[in-house]
Amino acid sequence: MRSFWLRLLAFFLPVALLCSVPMAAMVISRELLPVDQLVEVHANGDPRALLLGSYTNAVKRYKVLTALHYEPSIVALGSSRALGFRSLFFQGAIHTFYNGGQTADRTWNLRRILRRLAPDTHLRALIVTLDQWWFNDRILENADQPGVDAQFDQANDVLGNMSAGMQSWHDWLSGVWSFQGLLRGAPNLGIEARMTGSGLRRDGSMLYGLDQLHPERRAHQEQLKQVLDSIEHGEGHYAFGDTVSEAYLQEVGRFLDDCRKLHLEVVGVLPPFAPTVERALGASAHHTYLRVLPEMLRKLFQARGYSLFDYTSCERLGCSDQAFVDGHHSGEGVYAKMLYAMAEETPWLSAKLDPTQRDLALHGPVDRIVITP
Amino acid sequence: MLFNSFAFLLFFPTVTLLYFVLPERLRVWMLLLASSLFYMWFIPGYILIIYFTIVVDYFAGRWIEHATGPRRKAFLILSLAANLGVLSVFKYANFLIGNLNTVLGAVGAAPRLPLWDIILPLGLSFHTFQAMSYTIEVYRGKQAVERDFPLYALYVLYYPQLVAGPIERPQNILHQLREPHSFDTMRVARGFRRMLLGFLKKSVVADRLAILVSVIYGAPHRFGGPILVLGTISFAFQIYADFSGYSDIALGASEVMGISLMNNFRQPYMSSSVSEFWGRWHISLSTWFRDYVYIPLGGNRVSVPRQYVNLMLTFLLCGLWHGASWTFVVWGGLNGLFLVLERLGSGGSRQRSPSLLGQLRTFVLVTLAWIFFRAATFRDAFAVLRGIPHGWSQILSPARDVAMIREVWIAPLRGFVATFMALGVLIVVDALASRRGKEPHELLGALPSPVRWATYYAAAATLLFVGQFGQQQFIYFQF
Repeated sequence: MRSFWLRLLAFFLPVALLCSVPMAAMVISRELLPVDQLVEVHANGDPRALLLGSYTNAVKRYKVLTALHYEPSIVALGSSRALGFRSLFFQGAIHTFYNGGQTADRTWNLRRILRRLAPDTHLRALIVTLDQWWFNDRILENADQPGVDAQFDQANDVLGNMSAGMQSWHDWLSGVWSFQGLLRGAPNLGIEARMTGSGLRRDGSMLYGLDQLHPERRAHQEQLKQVLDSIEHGEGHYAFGDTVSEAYLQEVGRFLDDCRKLHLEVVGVLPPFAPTVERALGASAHHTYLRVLPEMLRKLFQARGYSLFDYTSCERLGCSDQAFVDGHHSGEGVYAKMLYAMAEETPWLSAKLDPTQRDLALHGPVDRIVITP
Repeated sequence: MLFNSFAFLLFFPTVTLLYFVLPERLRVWMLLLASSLFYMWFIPGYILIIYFTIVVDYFAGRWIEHATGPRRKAFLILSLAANLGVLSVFKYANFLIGNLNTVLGAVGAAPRLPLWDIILPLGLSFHTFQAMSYTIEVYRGKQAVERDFPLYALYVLYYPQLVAGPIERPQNILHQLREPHSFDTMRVARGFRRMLLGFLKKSVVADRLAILVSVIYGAPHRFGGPILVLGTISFAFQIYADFSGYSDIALGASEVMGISLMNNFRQPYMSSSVSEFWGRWHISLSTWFRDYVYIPLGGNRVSVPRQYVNLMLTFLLCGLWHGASWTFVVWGGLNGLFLVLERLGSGGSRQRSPSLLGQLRTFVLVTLAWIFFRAATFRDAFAVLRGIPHGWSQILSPARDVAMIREVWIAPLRGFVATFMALGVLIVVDALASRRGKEPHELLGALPSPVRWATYYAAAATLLFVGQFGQQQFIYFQF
C-alpha cells in the first residue's frame, strides 16, 4: 500500500511541477479567477485596472456578464475592431455605454450575444462593427464550431486554461514575462495586462499600452508590412475573395430582424483600414468582394430601417497610418471622430453623447492612439 | 459531468476514496448518491426521468417473477413501454413531428405542428437499453430478480457507464456491485493506466481532429477531394478515439473500484470484414441488438433471404438509435447492406482470415458509411461523395484549402503535428494489441518499469501541452 502511494506521488509530483509555473503566473496575475469573480473585481476594484489575459480567454463570458452588470442603454458589438469606442464620450459614461467588442467575432456570434444580452431591459441600442472579411465567400467558418456556446456560458474552463497555460514555460524562459513584472503590474488583471499595460478598461474599451511593449510585440511598421504581405499572398483575414457571402449576409439580416423584434436601435459600422492597407486592397485584383460589400450591407440595414456607416477608407476621417496600431486596428482618435460623425446623422446617438467631450474627441489629432488613459 | 473536466478530476478521487474507506454496507448507497449527483450535473431535474424508469423496471421485474402466463409478458411490455416511451418522447418526438410536417406540407395541409422545446437527457439511449436488458433477462429466466432497490438503481445509474455505456448486462454487473472489493494496487494501477490512455485518445486525438472535421463538414461543397478524404478519415478516427477513449475512462474508473465492465472496443479498424468490425466496434450495443432484436426476429434460424431482411432491419434500427435523423438511418442501412453483401460474397461463411487488403477494404467501407453519420444533412453527405473524386490532380494546391483549415485551428501548427503523431501511435498500438490479443493498456502494463514510467510521463506531458479540454463533449453524449 505504501509503495502504491509512493508511486502515485512519483507520478503526480512531476506533473505538479510542470503545472507550477503556469499556475503561479496565472494565480498572481489573477488570470485564473472565475469569470463572475473577475467581473466583480474589475467593477469594484481600482478604476484604472486593465484586464487582458495571456493564456485564458474568458472575454466572451466576461463581456456578457459585465454588460448585464452595468445595464447600459447602448452596447457596442463586434470583434476587436469595435474596442475603440469609449464610454468617456457618453453622458452617464459606463451606465449609458458599454463596449462589448471582441465577443461577436463572427457573423453568427452576433445573435449569440444578443440572445444573452436580451434579458437586460435597459438595453436600447447597439453600435455594431462589422469586419469586412466576415463576408468573404472564400472564408469558411463553421457556425457549429464545437465549444463556441461554452465560451459564452461556461463559468470556467480550468483544465483548458491549464493546458493553454503550459505555453507560459516558453514565455517565462524567453523573458516574455517575469514574476517581478507580474507583481509590479498590479492592479491589472491578467499576465498580458500586467506586463504590457494593455488591456480592457472597465467600460470594455481597449487601452493599447504602447510604452510597455513586451519583447514579442513588433513595431508598428513591421506589423503594417506583415499586413501588406498578407494582402499580397491572400493570407488570414486578407484571404482572396471575389464574392460576398450570401450566407453571412443572411446571418446579419437575421440578427437585425432580432434587433427589430427587441425594439432596439442599431447603427452599423464598417471600420477603417490604415490608408496604406486600404490602397493595397483597392489595387488588388483578388479582393474584389470589398468593392461591393458596403452597398450590399447598406441595403440590408436600410431594409430594416437602420443605418450603416462605411469608414473602410480612413482618409475620409483625415487620418494616416500613424492612427493605427497595426493595419486594421485604429486608435481612439479615429473612433472618437467616427462616433461624433455618426451622431450627426443619428439622432438617438447624438442625444446620448456628452457634448462637453466633443472638443476632446474632435479637436485633438485624429492620429491619437490613446486620447486619455 | 464530463470525464475531461475539472469537476471530474475532483469527483473521481473523492468517490473512489470514499468507496474504499466506507464500510461495505454503505458503498452501494454512496455510489448511488454519487452517481445521482454525476447525472444531475447536467440538468438536475432530469434525475426524475431516470428514477421513473428505475422504479417501473424494478417493480416490473418483481411482478414478472411472481406472475405466470400472459401476465408475465404484460409486465415485460410495461417495462419496455416505459423505457421506449421515455426514449420516444425525449429523443424522437421532434423527429416524428418534423417528418409529419414534411408530409403535411407535401399534401398542402395546414397548420404545421410545432416542435417541442426538449433537451435530450444525457445518456438516455444507453440507460434505457441497459434497463430493458434487465427485465428481458428476468423474463427469459436468465437473471434472478434483484430485490434490493438501491442495488438495482445503482445497476442503472452506475456513473462510469451511465451516460455513454458500455451497455451492461445484469449477469455481468449486478453481482459485482453487490460483492465486496478490497483495495488492490495492481488492479488500481491497471485502472489508472486505462484511464490515462482514454484521456489521451479523447483530448489529444479526438478533440483536435474534431476542429478539423467540423470545418470540412461544415461546408463540404467548398473542398476538393483530398481535403474531403482527409476530413472523412479524420472523422473515422475522431469518433473512434472519442468513443473508445470514453469507454477506456469508464472501464478504468470502474476497474479501480474492482468492478469490471465489458470491453466495448477491440481495435475495430483492424477488422478484415464488416462483420468482424461489428464484433469489435461498440460491442455492448451490437450484442444488444443481436440478442434482443436480430435473434428474436429469427436470427440465423430462418431462411437466408429472411436473415438478410432481419439484418437490414436490425441495422436500420441501430442507425435510428444513434440519432433522430434519416442520415443516421442511412448509415445503419449502409452497414447492414455491407454485411448482407459480405454474406452473399462469402457464400454464407463469415470466417475471414486477417489480411491487409481485407482491413483496408473494411476501413474504406466503414468510413464511407461514416460520411452519412457525420454529415448534418443528405445534401452535405452527397456533397462529400460527389466531391471526393475531384481535385486530385492538384493535390498540393488545395494549399488554399489547407491554409483556410489552418486558420481556424485554435492551436498553433504544432498541435496539428502532435495530433497526427498521437494518431499514428494509436494505430500502431492498436495493431500490436490486435495481433497479440491484448488491450493497449495491458501492453503498457507489460513494459519494463523504466519504459513504462517514461511512457506515463510522456503521456502526462502530452496531455498537458497538447490536450484539448473542457469544451468538447463526447460524441456519443448526444445519444
